[in-house]
Amino acid sequence: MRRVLAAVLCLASVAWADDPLQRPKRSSDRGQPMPLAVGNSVFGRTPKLRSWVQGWSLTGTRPEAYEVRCDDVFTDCAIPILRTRAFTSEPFGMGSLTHAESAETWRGRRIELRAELRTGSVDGWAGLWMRVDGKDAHVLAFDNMQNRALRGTTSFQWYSVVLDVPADAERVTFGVLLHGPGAVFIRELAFGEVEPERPVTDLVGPLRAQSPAGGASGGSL
Amino acid sequence: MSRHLIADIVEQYVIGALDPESVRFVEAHVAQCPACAQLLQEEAQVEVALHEVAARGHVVSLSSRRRRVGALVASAAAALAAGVVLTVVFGSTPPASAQPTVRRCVDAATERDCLSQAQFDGVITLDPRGQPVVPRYDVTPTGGQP
Repeated sequence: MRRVLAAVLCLASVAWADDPLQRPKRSSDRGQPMPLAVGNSVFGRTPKLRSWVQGWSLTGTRPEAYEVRCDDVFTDCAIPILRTRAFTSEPFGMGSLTHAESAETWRGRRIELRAELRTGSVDGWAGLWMRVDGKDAHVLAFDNMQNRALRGTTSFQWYSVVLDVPADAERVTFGVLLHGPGAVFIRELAFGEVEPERPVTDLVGPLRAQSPAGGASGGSL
Repeated sequence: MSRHLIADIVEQYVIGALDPESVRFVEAHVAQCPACAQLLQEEAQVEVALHEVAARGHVVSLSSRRRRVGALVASAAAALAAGVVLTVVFGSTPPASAQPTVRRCVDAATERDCLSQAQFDGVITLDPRGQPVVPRYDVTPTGGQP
């Protein structure tokens, strides 16, 4: 029975670990986001974490309070966990497992970041996020799932953010965020173009449209 | 019992970060493995101590747990008993924190502080002019980018 349970626990992880994680993979084929490898050698202490592709970083407003670990049982399975590092009376801020790249490939397209996530004792909130920047880091589109955030303890489910990449976009940045104590388990992550029929989940565009100044720039802090 | 649970999985069990299937797996294993049962007991005691310390306002790194175990562990308890205690102390009831919504900074006098807090919390916020301000997750406090 123990062997059966162990096999079940590690099944998805083994499947992912067998993937040749050399570079983040993506597809420009409509409707076919491809799995993305997640990881950064600076985060983990396990061999699997060390072997993951470069290009992902632990960022956020207080990244030192967070860490990325591997969901090990007996061996080095490959489900990364974004979780809080410390018990502290200070505010946690938020941490993010983040990837950024040029928007050149995606201009004029509708793109999706989707992931199979579960949460453990998330006291604040967690979710996927994606941002499309234009010139001078002007925010063209953004969704952080703050209107449909994950919290508490949840089972693995697929979540998604969908944004348009305008012709003047220069950079696309996305990731998994965690605010406050807890853990986010990332079983699978995919990024790519989707059908134009898929509704966008941009949170900023509608807010700008509703603001007294109309479509004026929102930007960042 | 030739294989033992690693500390990470035990920590996750203790903080309630495991899914139900993993919880059953851990509990079934510790029922047959005295060494893992003791590790579980130790982690549970450390967890309680850390919560107590945190409540007093001190910062405690999880990485310091190993150093604290020796002082905190009185003896290993029976595995199933540990599981029962953990279930009681660290039940899986989700916290009742509010769902984040769009925050508003309505007062121009406190706009700067309000927006700074919103950035720290990572939430989209409306400034006093009704414009959305987007938090940046990819800029670290030291100014670096991924």
